[in-house]
Amino acid sequence: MNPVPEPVVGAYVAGRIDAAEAVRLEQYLAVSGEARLQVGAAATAVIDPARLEATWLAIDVVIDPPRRPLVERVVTALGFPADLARLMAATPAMRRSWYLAIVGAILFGLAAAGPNRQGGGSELLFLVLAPLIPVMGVALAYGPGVDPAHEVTVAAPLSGFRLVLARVVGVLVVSMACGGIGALLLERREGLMAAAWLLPAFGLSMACLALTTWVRPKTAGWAVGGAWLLVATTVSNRAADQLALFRGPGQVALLLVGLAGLVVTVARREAFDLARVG
Amino acid sequence: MLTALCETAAVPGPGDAEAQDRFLLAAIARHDRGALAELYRRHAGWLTVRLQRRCPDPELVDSALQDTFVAVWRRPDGYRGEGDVGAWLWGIAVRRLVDQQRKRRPVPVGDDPTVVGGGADAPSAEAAALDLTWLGGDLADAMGALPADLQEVLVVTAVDGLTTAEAADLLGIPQGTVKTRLMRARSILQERMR
Amino acid sequence: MTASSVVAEDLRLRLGGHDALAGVSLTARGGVVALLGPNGAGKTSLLRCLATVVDPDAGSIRVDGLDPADHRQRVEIRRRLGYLPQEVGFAERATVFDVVDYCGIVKEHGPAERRHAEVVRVLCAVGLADRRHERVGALSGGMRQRLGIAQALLGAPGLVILDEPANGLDPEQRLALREQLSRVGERSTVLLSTHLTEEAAAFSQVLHVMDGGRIVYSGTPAGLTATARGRVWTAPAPPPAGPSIRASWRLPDGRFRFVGDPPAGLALPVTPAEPTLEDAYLLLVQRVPTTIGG
Repeated sequence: MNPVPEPVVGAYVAGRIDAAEAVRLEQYLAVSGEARLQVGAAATAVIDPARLEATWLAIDVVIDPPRRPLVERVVTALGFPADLARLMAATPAMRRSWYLAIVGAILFGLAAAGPNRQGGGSELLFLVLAPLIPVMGVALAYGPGVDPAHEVTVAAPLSGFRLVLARVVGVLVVSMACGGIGALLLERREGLMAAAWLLPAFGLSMACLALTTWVRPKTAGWAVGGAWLLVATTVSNRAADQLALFRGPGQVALLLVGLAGLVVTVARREAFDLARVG
Repeated sequence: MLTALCETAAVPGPGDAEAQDRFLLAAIARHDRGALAELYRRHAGWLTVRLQRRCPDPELVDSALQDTFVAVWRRPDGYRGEGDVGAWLWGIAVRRLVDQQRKRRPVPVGDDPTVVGGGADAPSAEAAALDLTWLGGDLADAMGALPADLQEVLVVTAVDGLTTAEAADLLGIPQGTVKTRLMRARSILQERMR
Repeated sequence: MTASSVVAEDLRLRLGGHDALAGVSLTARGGVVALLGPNGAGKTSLLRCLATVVDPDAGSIRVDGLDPADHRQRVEIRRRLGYLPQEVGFAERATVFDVVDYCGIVKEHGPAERRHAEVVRVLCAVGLADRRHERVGALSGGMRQRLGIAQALLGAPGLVILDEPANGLDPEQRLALREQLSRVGERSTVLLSTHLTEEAAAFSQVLHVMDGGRIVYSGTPAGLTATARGRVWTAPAPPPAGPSIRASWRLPDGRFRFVGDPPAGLALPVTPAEPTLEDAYLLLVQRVPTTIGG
């Protein structure tokens, strides 16, 4: 195998080559590694090495995909699209601190329900605390002061409301599951109204979500949480039945609060498309 | 950043480029990313130059080059040991360029009803159009006698080995036109030989 | 995408009891345009309004003729927009690639494969491609800033708004940023803010000086310097404080330099001096201490 004359290689690379000569060279390229190296070496004159580098990076990204975070893998495994999974996984609430808070709340409830306690005290404690888990999640799902990339997100075309929905649904699913486990553990010992915390959880989360269309999410979370604790202690102290809040009329009231919150949130959904600053 | 291949196993000496390429392919089959990087380093330059001759749009060329090496990563066993690894790479690259062109400007359906469905449906016509044995030995010598549009068609079919459908997509012309041009090239060259 | 046109008229915005914007008008199309002003001058408020994340109390904005006050048109503007907010952060535990990819999703940059290629492109552009697997928490301040710039360049938007893009960058990185932005400015409109005069002049051909929620100068850096001609002096001793003297400071050689108009009958022998951009800026801007280091 003979090397290709340098002027031919130069003309080929520069695109100034005669058609017959080009065909001859290209046919030679198929059989001569040396010719390929020659053309490759001459190519640096017309092709920016940075361009080849960029293409290599693009290849490298495809063949070496970054490892998906755990939350994303779980959401994808459940059959949701990968993009949605990524949006959910970026929820600030989906962090270790939130999970720790959930575990803490449940353990606290269980400890309070220790075997030597009498009466409905432990039930009450669990029923009051469990609905606060999703409220905390909602307050940490989206918005100024919570999401460091909030302004970037707002300035993007994706509807803020849709993003909020995706994140809130994720948060609610996780917190309902955790609360459910706690309820089952407790029920074995106490004979709890296992599902009595679900409607309060829904009502409070939606109230919190609706409030975030006016105030910062953390403020909304504190306001709803505080109001709930106030109402819960007042009712349990005054009413003859400690658990009055969690029986028929109370449940209906909390359902109505939740529905009202949902309606307000939908009506004010454009608030999620602006950054609240200052 | 192109990670050099770790010289741990019996790497062929620098003199034998072809043996090195085959060695790299074997390493790629074992999911060695460094080997793919090295293969890229060795071939990206000339492939880009040659792709650029087939398509002036650098964006499409880069995408085709990217797709080529991704394809190599996924199917390194696609190389059956026939001919040079470099020639095999070019075969992939030029077809990826065709794919890129297809995505960019889909040939309008129905512009040429006789060839809808491509070569698979009409093997005899395809074979007739691509029967290049009449070219005789020296394709390069024949080029000089042809106008530019016929040269172009002849290069992508005879040199690159594309089907008429692929050639049509690459050049952005109807498949029928590719065949007509090949016929014209044939008659011009036969005329010349007489 | 071609460079977007930006037209803002008489923007007003009240924040925390004071006028953050007190009637700002501005037009831009193509090139790099710098907003220069002291902290609190209203640069960030103006950029937030133009980036459609805050609605002004009054006034109108048009980006390519689209009105951000209308919901649909605002979404359309956002498709053409890249925005680096002043204080941007990203999840510390996420990787560089994931963060930009996330931005690509909320910017609706299409199917994953295309989007990933675009993510790689912008990461290459800011020199972070080889750190794409690293966690954000492991990056230095300058790298985080470049990460923020990278997401603003996703999809080669027609309008790029960067609030203090040079923050946290060392001189070498600033140089790279300037070069990069001038290239982006060839096919996009780049609006950026800075509080450093020399930075503003180096970044752009057009600059707007803001102060107290207003634009107090619009034009070229050279034009700004020229406004100070005949109002910059040196003297052997500090001039007496007075309303006509805007600022005075001690020079390394012991003399004093001041900007403003020396009062009639001043006993000091004053010599006129060649104005710099900074002199002109000090003359324009109200809220600077009248004596610096003097």
